[in-house]
Amino acid sequence: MSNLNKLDELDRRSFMASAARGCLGVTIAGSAAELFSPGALAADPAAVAKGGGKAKSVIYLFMSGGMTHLDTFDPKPDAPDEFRGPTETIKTKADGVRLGHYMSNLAGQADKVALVRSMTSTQGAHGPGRYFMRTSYTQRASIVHPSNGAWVTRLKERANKSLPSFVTVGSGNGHPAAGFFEPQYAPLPVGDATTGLQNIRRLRQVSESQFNKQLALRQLLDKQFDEQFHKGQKNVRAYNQVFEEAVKLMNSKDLEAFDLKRENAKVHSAYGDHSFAKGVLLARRLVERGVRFIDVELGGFDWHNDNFDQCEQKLPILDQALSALLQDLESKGLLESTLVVVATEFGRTPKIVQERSGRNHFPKAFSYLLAGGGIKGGQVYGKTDETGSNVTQNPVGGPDFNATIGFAMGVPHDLTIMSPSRRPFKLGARSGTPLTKLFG
Amino acid sequence: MVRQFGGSDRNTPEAAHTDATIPQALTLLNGQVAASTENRRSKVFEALAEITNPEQRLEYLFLAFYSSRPSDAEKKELLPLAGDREDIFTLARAMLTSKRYLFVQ
Repeated sequence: MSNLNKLDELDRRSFMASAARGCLGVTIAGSAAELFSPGALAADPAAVAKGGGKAKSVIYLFMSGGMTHLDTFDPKPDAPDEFRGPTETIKTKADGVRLGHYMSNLAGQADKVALVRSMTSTQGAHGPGRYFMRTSYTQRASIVHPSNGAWVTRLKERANKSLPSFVTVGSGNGHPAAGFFEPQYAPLPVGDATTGLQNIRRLRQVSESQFNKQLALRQLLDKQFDEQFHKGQKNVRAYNQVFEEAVKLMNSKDLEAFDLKRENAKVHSAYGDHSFAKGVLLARRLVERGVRFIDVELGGFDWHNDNFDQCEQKLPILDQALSALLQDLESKGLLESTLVVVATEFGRTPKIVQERSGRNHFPKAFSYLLAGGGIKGGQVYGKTDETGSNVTQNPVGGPDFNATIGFAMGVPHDLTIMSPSRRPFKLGARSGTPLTKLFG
Repeated sequence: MVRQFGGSDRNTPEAAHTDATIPQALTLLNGQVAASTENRRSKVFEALAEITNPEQRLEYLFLAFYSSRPSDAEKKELLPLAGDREDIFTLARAMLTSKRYLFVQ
């Protein structure tokens, strides 16, 4: 639908926002950012025309530590032994899509997924690698860039008024979160999905009226402080906002989303017992309630030693949870509106370090997976050479990938937002280009 | 607890952060520390049970929580609460969540 048809829905602010975007290609962060409601920015007709904009939520599964691409999404059956190791290549439900044998459940779901085998980065250390893939920018001391989840939260209208739009599960403190964005775009961090949200209920001895009185007293006690500091201090404003959000969350009728006990045993066993599997299940429950971006992290992929033993132990956790998620989303009719991503900071050295049977860091070539949210399943994008050492076709960088997430969500990946220090930033950085060919 | 309030996970250098998060607010509102104000074995509870004069109670609370005495305006506004058993603890919990612990650079 053309934006013109929706003109009658535009109020003056939205009109200004659309006009600023259309004519100048910019918007601004900070106080004036409030003028630009995400609603005015939500529908990007250019993306919709090319098959994007179908996703309403993103489940971003991050394999922290650097997941080996040769043993998972880019196996090399014809490579010499010292590259391949004991990993076998298996056929999948989709013609021409092959996987490492540890991903046997996923093989049955391959008709739903698109593999990107030509990911490439320049960041070979964990922290900076993760930061780059999540933010599209290299890490520096002077600024913290917003993560892809914060961008989506910023650019896509909130669908659930009482649950936050952005939730992270199992992420360490190194997550860039909202970066320089206002705190309202920061994620709700859930440490462990099994235990859910702690301290979410009022203390037993506190009545509702006493609780409300307590909130009012806090404002009274802070009155002078707020008058002095509220305006200029982002951290002070953040403090008020998180309290408002926390109280909203306490009163949310959707709080039960965090209670995994409400899922039956069959569902639990389909996803698996690992805490990551519970995080993936939680992500599905949050998607059902309109949460926009859920970042679930599975750590411990840094296999400098015993790569293949680790594959046997760790990859089935991802394989089972991911496959269950794809089936579950499909059966609930949510796959078309939910973009599922498997991401990591870099790949592993194709040539096995023989004495340790390990693989070291390898940002030059690695693989990502996408499914749902308008992605055409059963395809492979990009290529590496016969040993998985070099990208030989369609290289994809972190900014391109984040632009693709934006494209799937129908938000403008190339919209410039100024940081408080008046520097321009975009979801897809300077030149991120969405992989529109993946959509069908 | 320390991790929730931004303490480093010690996997990487400088992993600490100073961002405010919703779980922090929930911990201050409904967590163990908030509950401890009404714990019969807590120092605050014992002291407040002993002091009968509302003005002294308020002063005790301010000194214990903020290391300062209440201003005249605060006294005027908060004194009515200091006489009531329920209200004084509500005030104590509100003080725990107030911004007087913030350091603005």
